[in-house]
Amino acid sequence: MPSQQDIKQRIRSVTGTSKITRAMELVASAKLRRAQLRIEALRPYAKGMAQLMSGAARRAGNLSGIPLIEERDERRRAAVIAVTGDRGLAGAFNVNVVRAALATADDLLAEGFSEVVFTAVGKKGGGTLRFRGREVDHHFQGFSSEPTFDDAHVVAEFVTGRFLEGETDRVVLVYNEFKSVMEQRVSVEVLLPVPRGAVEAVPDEEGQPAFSKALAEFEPEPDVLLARLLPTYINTTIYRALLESAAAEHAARRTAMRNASDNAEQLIGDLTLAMNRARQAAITQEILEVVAGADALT
Amino acid sequence: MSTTSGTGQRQLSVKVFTPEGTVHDGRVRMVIAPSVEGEIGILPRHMPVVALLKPGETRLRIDDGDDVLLATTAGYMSVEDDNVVILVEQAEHHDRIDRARAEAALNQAREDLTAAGDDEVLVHHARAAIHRAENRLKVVDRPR
Repeated sequence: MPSQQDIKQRIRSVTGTSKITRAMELVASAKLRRAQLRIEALRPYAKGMAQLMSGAARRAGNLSGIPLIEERDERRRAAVIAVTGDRGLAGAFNVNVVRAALATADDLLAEGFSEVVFTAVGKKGGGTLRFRGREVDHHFQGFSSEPTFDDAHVVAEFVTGRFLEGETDRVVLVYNEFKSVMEQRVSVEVLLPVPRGAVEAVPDEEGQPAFSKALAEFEPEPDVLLARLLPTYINTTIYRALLESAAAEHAARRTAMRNASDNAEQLIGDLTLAMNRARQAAITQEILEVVAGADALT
Repeated sequence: MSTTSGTGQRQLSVKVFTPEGTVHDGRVRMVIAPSVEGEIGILPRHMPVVALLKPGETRLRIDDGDDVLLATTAGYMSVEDDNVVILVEQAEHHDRIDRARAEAALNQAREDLTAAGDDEVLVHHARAAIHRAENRLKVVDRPR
């Protein structure tokens, strides 16, 4: 049976840990709120963007021949972008993405691609994928918790560049989607070639396609405009994925840290009980000894 | 809003969106934006237009003759039914630009670019910062 001293020591250490997890929970909550606001802030821009693109696509008519849209016949190499966090201690957050990225890679190979490379965003994903012996063509890190549009731009430029050079024939984006504070879901989206559905889709519920009524004047021509819009669309898509992932990371971390704090509290309760029991036993022992001593004298 | 006809009473609804948030949302008399094919002015009842914008200055003329000046990056503008939507990567109000700070930012960004070496993320950030700062200075310094 551990002594009172030992138990006291353990209580102190568990209390210390619970203070840290509690603090991390609060920090994650604050960051989560900020991340949610940024997702909200992006929405009007993304919606306007999608509307413009569908309008331009309709007017451009023939979409074939635009390199970023055209589906390729060759299936040499596919790239999987895995968006993870830079830090751990967020429950299954990073593991889920890596697992989904590996599953996606298997699907691509089954579909006929001869090779799959990974583009890692976030410290954790890159580390794990390399450790598993996968080919990682680039590892972006340092912005998982608060990504900016510029960060998204860097990633977009890299993957688009590789795609246009013919290094990759398809690019798939795997990230944690922020469904709600309690729920994150791994989302797998084809980024390149840009799916026709995404180009032509009318984004909003109101069902009002842009420039449906009148013939708009395009300056420059619709196909030129579309060619310019597509990179911006890819930037926006990646930016949204980074923001969603950041929010999901903070939510996952908050949940994980709340569980850890609750566990610590329970542990402290159990240990306090054990300590009291030990103290009681020690007192009883002492009384017995005193009584026995007194008995021996008489 | 008045119901009388004529452009005098009509107004445009203007929304300026960036990925980081909504910069302007209101009613104006006229919009002047830097299209890639030259400055383009939009008055009420303008025909539908979609235009590509280059970095520069976007001017929103409010009812009482006041102008709202925005330093905007490259982007897009669409006009339909007196609704103007401007989508740019960044937009800043002219009167919120501090010349000294913009200059300091420009110098800092130039230093960052030299210090960045071959770290592409840093290089990109520094370049973007330089463009922003230059555009801000251009808008601030423009004689009017």
